[in-house]
Amino acid sequence: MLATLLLLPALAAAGSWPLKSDRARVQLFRAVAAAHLLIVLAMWNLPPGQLFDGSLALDAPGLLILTLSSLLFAGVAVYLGGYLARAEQRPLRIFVAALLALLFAVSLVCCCQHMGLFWVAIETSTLAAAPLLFFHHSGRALEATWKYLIVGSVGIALALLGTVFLAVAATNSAGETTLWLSDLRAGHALAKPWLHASFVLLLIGYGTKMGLAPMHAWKPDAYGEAPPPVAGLLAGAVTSVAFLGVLRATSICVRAGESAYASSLLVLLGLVSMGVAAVFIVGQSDYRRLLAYSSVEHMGILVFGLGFGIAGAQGALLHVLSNALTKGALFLVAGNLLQLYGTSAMSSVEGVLRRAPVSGALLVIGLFAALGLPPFGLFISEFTILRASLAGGAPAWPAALYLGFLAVTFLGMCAAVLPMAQGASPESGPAREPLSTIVPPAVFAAAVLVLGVWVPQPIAKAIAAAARQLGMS
Amino acid sequence: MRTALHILLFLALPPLLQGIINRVKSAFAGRRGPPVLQLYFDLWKLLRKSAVYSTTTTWVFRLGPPAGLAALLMAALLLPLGGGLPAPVAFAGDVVLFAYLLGAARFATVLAALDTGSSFEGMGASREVTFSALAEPALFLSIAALALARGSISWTFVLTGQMQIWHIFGPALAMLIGALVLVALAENSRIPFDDPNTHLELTMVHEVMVLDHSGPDLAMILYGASLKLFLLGAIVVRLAFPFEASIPGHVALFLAGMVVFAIVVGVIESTFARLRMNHVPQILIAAGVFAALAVAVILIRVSA
Amino acid sequence: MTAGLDLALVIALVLCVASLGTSRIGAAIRYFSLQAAAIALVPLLIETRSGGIGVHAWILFGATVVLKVFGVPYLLNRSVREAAVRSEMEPLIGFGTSLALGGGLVALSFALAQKLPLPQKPPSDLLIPVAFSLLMIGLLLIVSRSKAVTQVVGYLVMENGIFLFGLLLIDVMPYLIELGVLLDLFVAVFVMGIVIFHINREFDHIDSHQLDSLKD
Repeated sequence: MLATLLLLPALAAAGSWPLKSDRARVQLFRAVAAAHLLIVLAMWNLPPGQLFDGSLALDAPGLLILTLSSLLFAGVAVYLGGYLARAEQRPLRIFVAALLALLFAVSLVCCCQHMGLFWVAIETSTLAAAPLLFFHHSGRALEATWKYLIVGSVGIALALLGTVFLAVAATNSAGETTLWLSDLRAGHALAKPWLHASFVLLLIGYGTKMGLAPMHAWKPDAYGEAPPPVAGLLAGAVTSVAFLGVLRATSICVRAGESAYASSLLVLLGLVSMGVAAVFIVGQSDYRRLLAYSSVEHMGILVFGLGFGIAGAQGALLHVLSNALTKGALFLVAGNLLQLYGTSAMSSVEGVLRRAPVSGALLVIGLFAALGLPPFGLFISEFTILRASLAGGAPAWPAALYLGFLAVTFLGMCAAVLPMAQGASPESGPAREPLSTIVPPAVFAAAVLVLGVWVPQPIAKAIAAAARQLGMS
Repeated sequence: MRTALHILLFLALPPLLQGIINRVKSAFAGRRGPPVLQLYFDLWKLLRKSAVYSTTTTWVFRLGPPAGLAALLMAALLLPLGGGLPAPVAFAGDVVLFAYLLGAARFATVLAALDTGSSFEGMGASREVTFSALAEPALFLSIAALALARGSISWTFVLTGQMQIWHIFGPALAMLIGALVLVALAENSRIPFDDPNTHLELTMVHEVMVLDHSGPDLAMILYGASLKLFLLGAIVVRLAFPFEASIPGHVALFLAGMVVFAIVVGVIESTFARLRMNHVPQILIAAGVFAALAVAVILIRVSA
Repeated sequence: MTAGLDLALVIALVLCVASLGTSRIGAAIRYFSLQAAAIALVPLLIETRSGGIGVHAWILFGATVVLKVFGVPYLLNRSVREAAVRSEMEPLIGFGTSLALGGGLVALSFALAQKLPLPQKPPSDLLIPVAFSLLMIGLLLIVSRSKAVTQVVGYLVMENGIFLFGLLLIDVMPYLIELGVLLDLFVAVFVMGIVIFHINREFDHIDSHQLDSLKD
């Protein structure tokens, strides 16, 4: 089943190239995304199997992130129908092929149990996303793509160096070494200085892909200029997949006994990201860039949560799920707004609730979800992380900063988004909102709501199993 | 006896080097070129003429050429030509004295140029001094690398040795020779740093400094310049072919090496274009960086 | 074969420093190509020290030569030709200063390499310092140069340094991974080349320092 999961998007990417019509391409993408989602859902019940001697296998965190990515792709596949109908007509050959390649890369990352293969898969996802970014071929999109490529490539190169250092750290006296996750976690004695250096590099490298500050410079430009469904995929799936890399690096560190070292770095980087995001959210004028900074903030929360042991990790894993779905919903709604109003500037958008009631409602719901208001899933995860940060008599200043940044972000985003939703609409009457453009974000928002109220048993078990990886046993 | 042979070689041979270089350049240009002994004839002609001194110059101008030549001759006394022909004067640290004697010779020429009070000489002097200042790090780093490699700061030990040295220090030695060739070209105002045949005053660097000398003074300047090239060439040749042999064979091999060096300089002069002035610092810094790389590589090798 | 290995490493280092000082983009690409050739020889030279050369090393050599020595420069030269750019502008810190800074970084990497406690003796004393130097000089190129193609060359030099470092593990890393890395690199340059082509078509220049319309 694992083989099907991976081969399907790869073969489809190749097969979409010679197809004659763009409609056929989009249909192919839809079919593949649907099949992919079905396979992933089946994997929750049936054992997914292994490939290549266990180098490709699904463990708990991998399955979680694979599921959310698959959901996002399926949602975007449905959304594309309405979006492309109203967007400017451009040839879709590269676009669909790149989307399928991205699906393949993301699936591959979730299955990797070998750190070297993991790197190759993440680099593939970086490259697959690049053509999607400059779909519009405008000057601004090109600039965003160039920054994304250069900053991303340098970051990924540092992650490669970190991977090599990890292998050096794992070299035993006989000169043999390993990069298998199971070996690295199983108390295979790791040389401390090399492990420290490797963790820093992996954190910086994969953190660049996540969009943690101070390596986030590409994010606002990329998310601001990419087509909104693509930005939703990047913000939801690709950042989560990069988070998986940070998670794996942290688990290796923790199992080697260096959890204090890892925690201090993670908490620091998390707080810096939240702080930078808060500063740039206040006074932001472009709603897509606003969402990008919100993504930076949530990445900061994720990494902050990872720094507080098993309890924090549980919060972080729930947060990954909720955040990805929220960002997916918000970016798809942003796509609707972009097509209705023709601009990304927040000053030009107002009265969405009157003009496009469903999108407006989803906008407000998404805003509340992203801000971590109850009863949405993000509230539970952020609260869990807060509790973990104060557990065991830990110093209170990280938690205090955490809450402070959350408050500033809350104020900034409310002040930015609520005026967009309210007010009088510049044009009369509600606009037409095709079903395909409102059902996916609605489903995502509903899922976040469900996660906040009641976490389904399989998901809770998977989160607990994944969090256990960050413990000593 | 051996001292006399050494001094004789250094005194008699330098103008020959110049002749070979000119012949190579002419061959590239498709001409027959001047005879190889041409510089000797020029020197003899100049010595029999009388010097003309400008009324704006002082005793400094008259002192310049002899002082420069004296410094260069002293530097020649410091270089050994191998086991069979040791340097007449040798002591620890004579590498540094060598470098500064070259600097003293340049200083005397520059002073004489400034003494004329003409702006052209001043311009040439300032350019020449700038290029030499940039070439100094390269020269000193090369000396440092050699001292590290051979464990001594006297030319006698640095320049003697067997061909095995290539085995031990191969790549570093290659970089050093590259850096030293660049330094030699810069110090002697050859292409790609300066064109010795240019007659456009605005493009001259070294030529314009010596514009006002005539007669025996000019002979001393020309001879000094060829001696400087011979000295730096001798260092390069001894580094590249560090062999030991009996005296006649040794001298023959050394002369062969010098001829090869002259041909290489001639080829470089014919195939490369002269650099734009503001690119000269770049290439000299590059020579310095290569010498620094050689130091680093040798350090690793020696401490390993 | 330590001498041969050292020679290859030193040549790679010298070419790397030389590309810091050159203002011609074509020259920088050529230096990179030669550097990649020198580095391609390193796995072969490492293996001849320990015994016969394995199939693994030959595959790595072949892949590196095809992709890095011929493939990547071909792609870059195509971009340069289409953009019709010949020379780099004076970088922010000047060519001379770049060279001196590069020399300083090389000295720093030699010093760093002395401090690192390696689990076992590397095949050559120069391997780690040269790897670090390539990494740092590659970063310097990316940061200080303005033409997009030179930034790509800087990225490639950085990857060369990491590749050298990875050669420490030549016996252990499954060679599929290393081939995957090489292939990823090639595709990355391909994508960057296409983006540069589009940038040139849109803006009529490939000066990345002029791409600054997106900011907060």
